Amino acid sequence: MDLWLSQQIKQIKKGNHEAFGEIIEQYQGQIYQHCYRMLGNHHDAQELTQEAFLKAYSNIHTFKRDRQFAPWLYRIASNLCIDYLRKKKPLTILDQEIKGTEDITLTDQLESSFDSPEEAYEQLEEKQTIEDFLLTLPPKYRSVIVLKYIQDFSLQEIADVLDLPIGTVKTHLYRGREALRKSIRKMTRS
Amino acid sequence: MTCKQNMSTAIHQYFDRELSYEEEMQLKHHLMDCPACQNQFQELKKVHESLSSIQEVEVPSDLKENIMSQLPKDSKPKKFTKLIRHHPFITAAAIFLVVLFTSSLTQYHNNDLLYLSQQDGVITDGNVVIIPEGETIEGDFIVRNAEVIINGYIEGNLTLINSQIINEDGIQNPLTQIYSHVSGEINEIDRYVSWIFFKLQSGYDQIKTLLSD
Ligand SMILES: [Zn+2]
Repeated sequence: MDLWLSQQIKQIKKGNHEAFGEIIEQYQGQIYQHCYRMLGNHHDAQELTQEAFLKAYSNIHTFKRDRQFAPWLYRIASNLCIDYLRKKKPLTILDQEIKGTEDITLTDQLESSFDSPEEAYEQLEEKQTIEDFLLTLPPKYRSVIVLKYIQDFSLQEIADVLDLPIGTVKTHLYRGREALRKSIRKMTRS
Repeated sequence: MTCKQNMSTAIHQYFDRELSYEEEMQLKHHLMDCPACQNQFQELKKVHESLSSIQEVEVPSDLKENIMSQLPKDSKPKKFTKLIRHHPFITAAAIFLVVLFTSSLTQYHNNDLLYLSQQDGVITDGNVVIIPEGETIEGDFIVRNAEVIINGYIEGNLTLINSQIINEDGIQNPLTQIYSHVSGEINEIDRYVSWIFFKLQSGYDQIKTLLSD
């Protein structure tokens, strides 16, 4: 672990908030990207990114010096996202934002611009992009794909973050990509 | 149109750059002869490329500020060493420690039994303690001499004394696996010395009264 980081962590363990501020500065971008691609909207992404950092702060004393900090932080964020998705499962589709219209959810769209829900779904389907399809994947496949493509992690790094055997990481990655392939094929045919 | 050779894994490995030069050549030759695999390859290439082209989103400007404003005040109990160093009653404290040491040593060895600070919503099976999925423990939870499976949630701090977190297969799990299941701090006390400190911390107020008398 680099010197700067170990100094910061030492300070944080002493209760130094400023040192933790520097850690936030350093990692907030990446953690936010992860949460955003896992959850699909800015509101939840912000909420969960904040929760992840707060959890990291209050558990900093369980962080051992010989470990890598980034994977440890990613694991906290990733677990929180997966837990969150599990809890709010039935609502995920309706809460997904439609591309380019931040803060307007599908529910709002259903009420405003379309005559029937069916029509709304049809309209939505035409506009669907890879980002939208990504959000339809089961969370365990989604997190592997996000770590690989958004964060550029190696398969070994993904295995470390998710605490999975590398074989399982590969399986999830292949299945995730296959599911996306089918979604795209379906879209181009319809 | 199907393919008799199963090339699917090789195609995926290609996109992860996991094929050797020979394997890659083999795959390319196969793709030239096999329309089914060629089709799968092209579709996955599209997936791979569109995933790679996903743009980063902007981070909200108030993110850091929000986190900083929610950080808990430094309420961590002071480390015992620090306490000794700064305490004016160091001699008295040392004497007290000897007394405490002898009495707690007996206590420590007499306490091989499973202990839980609360029973509600907890399943016990021998020395295995299970917090089932959907169950929430309200308040701090202290476990002694147990193997703990946490599928539910603890709304408070978790203290593990001479205990381990395990998964359903009985394999020991790292503490990181349960962060999302515990709202507060997780403390692990597995050695005798730490256990003394824990006892001392919880009895500290008592000591202070004694010393200032
Ligand atoms: Zn073939």
